[in-house]
Amino acid sequence: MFMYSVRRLITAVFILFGASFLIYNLVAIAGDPLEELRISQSPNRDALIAQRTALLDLDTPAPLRYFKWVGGILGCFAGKCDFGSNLAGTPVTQLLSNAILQTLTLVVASTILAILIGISLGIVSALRQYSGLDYTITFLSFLFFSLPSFWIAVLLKEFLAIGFNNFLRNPTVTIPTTLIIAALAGLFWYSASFGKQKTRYLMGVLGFVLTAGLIIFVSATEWLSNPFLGIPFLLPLGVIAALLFTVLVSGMRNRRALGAGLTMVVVGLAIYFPIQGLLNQATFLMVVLIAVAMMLVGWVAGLLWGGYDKGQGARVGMLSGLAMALLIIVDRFMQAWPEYVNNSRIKGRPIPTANASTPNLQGDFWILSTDTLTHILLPTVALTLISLAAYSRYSRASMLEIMNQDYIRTARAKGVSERTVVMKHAFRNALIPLATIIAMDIGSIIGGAAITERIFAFKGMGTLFLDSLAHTDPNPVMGVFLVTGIMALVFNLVADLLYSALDPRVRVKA
Amino acid sequence: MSTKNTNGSVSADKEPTTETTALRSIETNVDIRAQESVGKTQGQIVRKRFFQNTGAVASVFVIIAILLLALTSIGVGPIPGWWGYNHTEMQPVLNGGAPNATHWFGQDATGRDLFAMTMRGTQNTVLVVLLITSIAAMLGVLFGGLAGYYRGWVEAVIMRFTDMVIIIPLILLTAVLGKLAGSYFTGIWNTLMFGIVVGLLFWSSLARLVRAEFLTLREREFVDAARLAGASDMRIIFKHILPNAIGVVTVNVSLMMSSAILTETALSYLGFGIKAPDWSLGSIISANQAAFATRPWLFWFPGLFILTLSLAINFVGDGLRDAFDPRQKKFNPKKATERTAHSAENGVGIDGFAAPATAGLVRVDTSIAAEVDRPESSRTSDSINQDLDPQNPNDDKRPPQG
Repeated sequence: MFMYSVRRLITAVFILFGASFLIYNLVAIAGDPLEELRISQSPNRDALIAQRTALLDLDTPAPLRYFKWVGGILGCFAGKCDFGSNLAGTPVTQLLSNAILQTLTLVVASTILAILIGISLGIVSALRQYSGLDYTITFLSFLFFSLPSFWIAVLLKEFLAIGFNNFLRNPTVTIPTTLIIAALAGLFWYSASFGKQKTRYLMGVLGFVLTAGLIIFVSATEWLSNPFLGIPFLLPLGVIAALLFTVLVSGMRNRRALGAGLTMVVVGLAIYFPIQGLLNQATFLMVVLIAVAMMLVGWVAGLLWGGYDKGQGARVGMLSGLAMALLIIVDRFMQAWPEYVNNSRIKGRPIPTANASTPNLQGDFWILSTDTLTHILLPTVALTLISLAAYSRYSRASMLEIMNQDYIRTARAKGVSERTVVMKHAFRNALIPLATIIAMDIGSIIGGAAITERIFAFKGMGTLFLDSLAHTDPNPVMGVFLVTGIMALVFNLVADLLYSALDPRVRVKA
Repeated sequence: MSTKNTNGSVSADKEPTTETTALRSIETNVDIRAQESVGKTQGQIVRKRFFQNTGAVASVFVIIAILLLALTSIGVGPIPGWWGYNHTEMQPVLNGGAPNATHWFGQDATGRDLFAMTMRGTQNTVLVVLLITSIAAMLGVLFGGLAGYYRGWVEAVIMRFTDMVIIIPLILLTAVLGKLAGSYFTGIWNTLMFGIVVGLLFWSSLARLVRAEFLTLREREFVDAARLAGASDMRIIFKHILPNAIGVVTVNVSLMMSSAILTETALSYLGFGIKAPDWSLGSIISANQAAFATRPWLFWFPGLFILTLSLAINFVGDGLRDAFDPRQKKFNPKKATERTAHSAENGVGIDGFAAPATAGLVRVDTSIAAEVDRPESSRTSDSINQDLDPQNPNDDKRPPQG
């Protein structure tokens, strides 16, 4: 394994050299950085040309210049990175570090969401193969997969952002709209449910009633302009989360696991009031620590409940603890929401259509975080829609293949409960091929979602690349290539190692 | 557990034992399977399976319709079409440019006819996509085939080169190429060169797949036979192995096409592709997106054309994949209903998969029937085919694909 990794890394270095050489020369012949100066009328034109030639070392032919450039990069190992500078003279290292940060804030959430939603949809549609739900999910996957990102992004801006902002002025839903939405939700629940026909009708009706009730509640209390969770919502949501995790992880039969989950709900409710004071002066680190602490407490609670399979209880406790922590944090965000919306910089239109943050916004952690969240909302939705399609297709195909295996039939034949068959025998094995795909995708996210970034005016890697390319500015372009190339190679290796770790049938050749 | 349990009310005397139900379901499936493929060439089977796929066939017609519309309406090159306007001349703006009887898709701010622009954009987009995919398909097959067939240093060199291309996000790489084409060529030559240079580096993923396919096929007996008969390497590659890998190539080229559509329109949108005064579907959107609030049609029509083309090609690709993959049987609702009716008479359930219905709950099954159809539920209709393949003599003639 170690030798394999070393060998792969050495190959990777050569691939990287080759790729960067190729790109460097392509970029060099793609455009002349001096062109805009040559046609300019400025009196000191010749001086500017000479200055830029010196800056970019244009007198050296591109293939040779590449080696000088590589020399600067290799300086990183000697502690002095030199990626060159852009036309304005800013070092590329500085541009890159800003851009990477922006790109990560943009893509991390959408990648996680796309993976979670995509895989769940794929699994559900595989389990309900050839049902109405399956066809719907399949069609939607194809639709999202075929959507041009620049088109959907503009649509989202227009309808989601501007529409929602307009809606917020008078956030009430009319009765017919309520009924239509609730009917759609009921239909969804009917097709998503399973079991006897009667149960399915019941689920459909329940979905209809709950959705209608929710919309009426939201409308009546003007929840959208003044959202809250508080104890009345934390309790049922926490219990639902605990039940869900118990069903998924261990099955309802494991009462101790359920106990661990419910314990965490109680713990979450107990600390709700004491923790508010602490949260008022929160930092990002503190929020993360609170979530981690809750997970740890859940782990311990699961172990304390004990029983035959402590691990399951611990996992349920951990997940429920995380859910409670997230609920409390969401609740705190909601408390900050009215203040954010009424801020003089926001003026009651909270969903922005561009940029990464509102300029000159003053406020505490919660206000600023809310601002970031509202800014990444639209690009996240766009990116999630586009990339979840691939995940749902992959996981559906993978799950279908697994469900047809003999060992699944064996498991069923020996009387293993359906939950265990799906979650333990099938799901885990279906994830193996997905793990490598996910690893590769994570490797490529740093390259940024060039188009989405451009449309939403995020100054990330994609924008840096496209702008520099448009201005024939070679060094930042190469910087972006280098970073994305390194990430892709590293995560390709990770994917291969992960695959052999997950699937004992696959062995890497040492 | 059984969702649409049509046989729930089957009387007790018809209750089959596990063995008979299993046997029956095997028999039915063998029959269907044999009927489908007996005495037919592989091409016929694939064609039949493809034509059974309503979505894919409909998509083929949609693509043809769009192409015909784009080609006949504004004509090609010097040949005029039946549409009265072209994509450059400015007409007086009627009715604020909204779609009307004279200008079906409306007009832009300067009075250009959007229908003509969209048709011109469709022509250009399709032209570029065809260039990209045909070049990429040829190179991908060539490189993948050589690497897979020769192994050794040929493979090492080609695959390392493939790795070099594949580690760079496609949109970034193609943006550089588009810029390259744009800075040396103008007009129609820009469009052509754009397609060609992007095609020159678009082949990497196909090459990988073709190589993998060749790696398995080169070990087969028919390759040995051909070699013993004295066939040259090129003949073996192109006449013996390639026809057997045609499934992988066709499917992936069609999927490559849909990705090429999105890449081309995105690059033109970003300004690295086809440039004004000529139009691509992407550049029409980019030129008009600021006017969404006032002239939404400028944005809707080209976008819908991109979406329709890309969606239709994806459906065709998926249909081809199903048709070429001998392990997957395309689901035919009509046949399934017949089979359900047939098997319901015999007391066989047809559920597809038993869903996690009783997830975690203690199951209290009172009837034996419920116990019996549980193992069946996972292997009716589709799933069983793959287990039955060896029983079907025709299957031996099929190459392993997918």
